[in-house]
Amino acid sequence: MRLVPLRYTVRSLVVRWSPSLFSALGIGLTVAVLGGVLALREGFRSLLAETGSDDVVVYLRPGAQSEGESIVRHPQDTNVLKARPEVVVEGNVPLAAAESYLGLKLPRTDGSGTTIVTVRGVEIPVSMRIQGPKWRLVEGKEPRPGSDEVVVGRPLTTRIVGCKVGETLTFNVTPFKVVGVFVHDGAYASEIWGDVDRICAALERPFRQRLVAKVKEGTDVAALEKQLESDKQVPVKAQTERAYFRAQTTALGNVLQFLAGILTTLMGAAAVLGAVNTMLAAVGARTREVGILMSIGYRRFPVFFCFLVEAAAIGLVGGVLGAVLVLPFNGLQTSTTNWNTFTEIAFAFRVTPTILATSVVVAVVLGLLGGAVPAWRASRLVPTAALRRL
Amino acid sequence: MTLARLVLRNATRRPVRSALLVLFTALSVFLACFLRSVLTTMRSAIDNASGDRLTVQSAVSLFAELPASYRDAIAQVPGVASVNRWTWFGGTYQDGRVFFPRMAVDFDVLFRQYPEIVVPEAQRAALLANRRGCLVGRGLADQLGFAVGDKVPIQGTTYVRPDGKAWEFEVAGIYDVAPDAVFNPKVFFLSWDFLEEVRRVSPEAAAAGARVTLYMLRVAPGYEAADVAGAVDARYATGPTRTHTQTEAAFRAERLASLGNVTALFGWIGAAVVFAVLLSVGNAMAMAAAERSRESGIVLALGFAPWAVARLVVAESVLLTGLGGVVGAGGARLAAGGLRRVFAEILPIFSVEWATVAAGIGGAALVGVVASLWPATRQAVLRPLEVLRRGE
Repeated sequence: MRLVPLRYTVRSLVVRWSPSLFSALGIGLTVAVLGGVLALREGFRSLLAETGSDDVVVYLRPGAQSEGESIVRHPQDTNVLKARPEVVVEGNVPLAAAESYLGLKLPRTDGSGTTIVTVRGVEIPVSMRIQGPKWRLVEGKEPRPGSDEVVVGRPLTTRIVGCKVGETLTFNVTPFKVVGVFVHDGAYASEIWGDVDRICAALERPFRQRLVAKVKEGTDVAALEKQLESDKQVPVKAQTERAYFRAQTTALGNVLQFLAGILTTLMGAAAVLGAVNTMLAAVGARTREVGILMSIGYRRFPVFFCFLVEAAAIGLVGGVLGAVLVLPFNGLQTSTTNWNTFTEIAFAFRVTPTILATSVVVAVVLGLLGGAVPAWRASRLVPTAALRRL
Repeated sequence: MTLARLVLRNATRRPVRSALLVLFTALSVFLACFLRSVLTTMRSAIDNASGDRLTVQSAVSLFAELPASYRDAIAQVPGVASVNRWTWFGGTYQDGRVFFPRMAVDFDVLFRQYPEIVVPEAQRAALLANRRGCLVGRGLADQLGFAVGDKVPIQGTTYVRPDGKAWEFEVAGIYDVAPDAVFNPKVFFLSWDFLEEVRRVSPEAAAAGARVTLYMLRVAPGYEAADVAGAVDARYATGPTRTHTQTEAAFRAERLASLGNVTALFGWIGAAVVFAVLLSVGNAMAMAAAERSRESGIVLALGFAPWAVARLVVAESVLLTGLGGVVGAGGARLAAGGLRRVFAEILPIFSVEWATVAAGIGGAALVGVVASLWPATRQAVLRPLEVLRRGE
């Protein structure tokens, strides 16, 4: 069975360039919105989920979903955990730190009220050592152990009042001096770090929220998790840092996924209707041509296929337009609230090849859906009647 | 033939295309109304808050608690009529995938401070008598199938049972929210007395001491809310834990702000939707108008003014998009209840205001005008002779 040459499809598209382009744009906008929301979700997810280490273990209270609701008794439980056999020891010091965590209300520099910033009490310098090369000081110095000094994550210096080196932040009623700025290639990038004992004293919190430790190579964390869950002495939930952060993305991730779903469904349905309109008009305007195609020997299927390809081509152009629209968002800095912890977190949109491919595929599918009925109608035309028209 | 009949004839000449255009506009308007309603529902929660209720939280953090000893001192502040101790209980229900807030309160004070929480008298008495009794919202009861008398296991996280098992509560009451009030219908309230019991059986909870997440005050008649708030905060300005007292409206606004910049995100999406509608309507009208070039030429040749031709196109476009607007916005209003049920997890409260319906219809009609301007102009500037000679 001979197919209608592709050249015919392409030339038809070019001749009717304006309606074709408009339908393509409609589809393009739909997949651009889809791609934008997915890029937002991906940027957020990759910051948290892909930067946690597999050789760092986080110990929380059993049942706690996040650091915020975890309580580890200090010093009785933290000392027991630090002495565990899987923890790496350097010199005589175990690479394990009992840390505190609290989201504090701090004023934004743009005057738009307060936001919630994570203040982490850390053991200096062990907590920094556990993070290794991912944590780097870029300005000033590290806080001295036992002092009322803090270092702040770089995104905070411009967004939060009092976060420049030399300035003072007041936690409850205790002033802390900002002595340095750090960067972290991951989830700790938008935090404030200071000595855990001093911060817990200022915030009147006798407990710690978690213990974090570097574990020896080859440690089976899954087995460890099972073993510690039912530990008689200190029951804890042990998980890798990567697994912990992945779990922290669920709330916002689900909302964005839901948003992407509903937007794609509704906007996609609307775009399909637009494409149906364009293709119906295309078929209507070419009734005579269809009649000619059929009378020179093309069967019903090639005619159907020919119009379907045309619709798919419109979808493809739309998908490419959508991808072009969404590409500039790549790397764009934004900040949002992590709904698992309600703390603000800065990250960048991430337009991955997968997202681009998804956009293009969805666009082609939308085009095909829009083209199916008109193409079928074209293939049902009776040649003699079609030729007689006009 | 009047203008109206001419427009109607044109609009029904290609019924499939017109129907598609109406349907397309309706879908887009529905989406835009849905997005706007999420925002207006949030705003109505703030507007609807009571002016004489104040919240007292830690000035340091939303997650830091206040000493339980503050209650008696706050009650002494002039202008404070009553004080309730709202305390975050935390914990997980089943596998933790279904989330709902769990709060310990003094039930007698809750009923006095919140007339919009409607509970039958017998259930109120049962709640005051039963330390393990809990009060759940109608929305939560419907979602999880709770009925009065059911047992609800909650695995403790902050308040852990010494044997590690789940705490067991009994549904003693189900509250409805008064019709014109805005209150989360999915809260799980338990008794403050239950926390006292936890502290008796768990040495760990006892060691942590009694803490309160937020104090809810009612301002006595004749006092200014701002004065009372100032007096409470002044009392603790130097510690031990500083307080931040604000009206319930400000408190709700703060909680919503903590969800991040939803307004901007929805604004962007809304703009994309409107632009997509513009393109598609413009496209359809351009096709419709192009098919009728010959007729337009005849009308012009008969001596009608160019704007008479243009207004036919504009009127047809507005008719179709306006109809789409009515279907989409009206549909959103009718579907509000269903949407609330489907998206129960994310939107505990959700309603579509009449203002949103009006904005949807008006917006659709406006898009109809704008999108048809270009095709209409092209019809108006046709040269009659040329068109007629083309023989289309």
